[in-house]
Amino acid sequence: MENRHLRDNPYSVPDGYFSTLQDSISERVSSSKRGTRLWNIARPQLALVASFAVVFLIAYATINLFSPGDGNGDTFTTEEAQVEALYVKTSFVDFYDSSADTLYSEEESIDPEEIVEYLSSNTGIIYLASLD
Amino acid sequence: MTDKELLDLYREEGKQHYAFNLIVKTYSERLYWHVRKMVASHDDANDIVQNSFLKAWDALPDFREESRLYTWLYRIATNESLTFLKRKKTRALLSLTDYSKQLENKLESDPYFNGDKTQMALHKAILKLPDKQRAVFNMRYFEEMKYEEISEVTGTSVGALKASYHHAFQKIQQAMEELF
Repeated sequence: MENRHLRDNPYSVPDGYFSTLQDSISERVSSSKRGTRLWNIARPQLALVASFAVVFLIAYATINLFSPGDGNGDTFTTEEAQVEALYVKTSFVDFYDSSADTLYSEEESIDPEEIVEYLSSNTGIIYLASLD
Repeated sequence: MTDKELLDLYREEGKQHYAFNLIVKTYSERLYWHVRKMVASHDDANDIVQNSFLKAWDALPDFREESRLYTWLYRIATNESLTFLKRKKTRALLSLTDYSKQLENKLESDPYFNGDKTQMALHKAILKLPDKQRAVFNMRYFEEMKYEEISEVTGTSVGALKASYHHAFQKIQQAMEELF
């Protein structure tokens, strides 16, 4: 491995190969259409679109930064939304909450005498008899 | 002409083809030998070198001189060789044949291999190395490139390259000792 002879190049090529190789490359380079690759075609247009996008973003950011805001940051509340929120909050009834039942029955308790009086003034005697 | 002079000439108006032909003239032979040691066959090396220069021609307008021109060309040629070998190996795998054995056979029957028995054994052992390791070994052993230059070509750290070369050297030495 340390023998210098082993580092010599044992490969060879046909006579005059390297001048043929250079001619072949030169010919292929001359006939190749470097500018027609998709990327090369699209690159100037993409650069233009990108620069427009950058200008638009800068303008948008500037307008956003200096325009007067409502103090609510990135949230906003309309009057309708406020009403809707209130409705949702107050109209919710937990049907499984027994304490709520108790609360309502205490607040809206009706005197039995009032019931009898109401019924006697608004329904016939036959109907009352049928209830028995 | 230096790399810088070649590139300056290339950037002059209307001199692109002329300058590129000079680049080809300067580096084609060197790149050919590098590729030939990778793929063994003259015909394959010829195709790979031509394709490498065509790719270089396409990419040269974007070359920013972050690396030297010749290491950049080496990188293109090395990558082309590795891609070629990978493709061949995939085909060999599909046909259930051993590609490194095919390379050995090519070497034995190559009319353009003029080495003696020891050189034949050495190059057979080199062809058995993994492709990337072979590229590193060839650049260091035959072309005597500095590790920093090989690092520019392969994009691998100098430490990793030293380890890779050391392993390759040991494998080849062992193969040679078994034969002689």
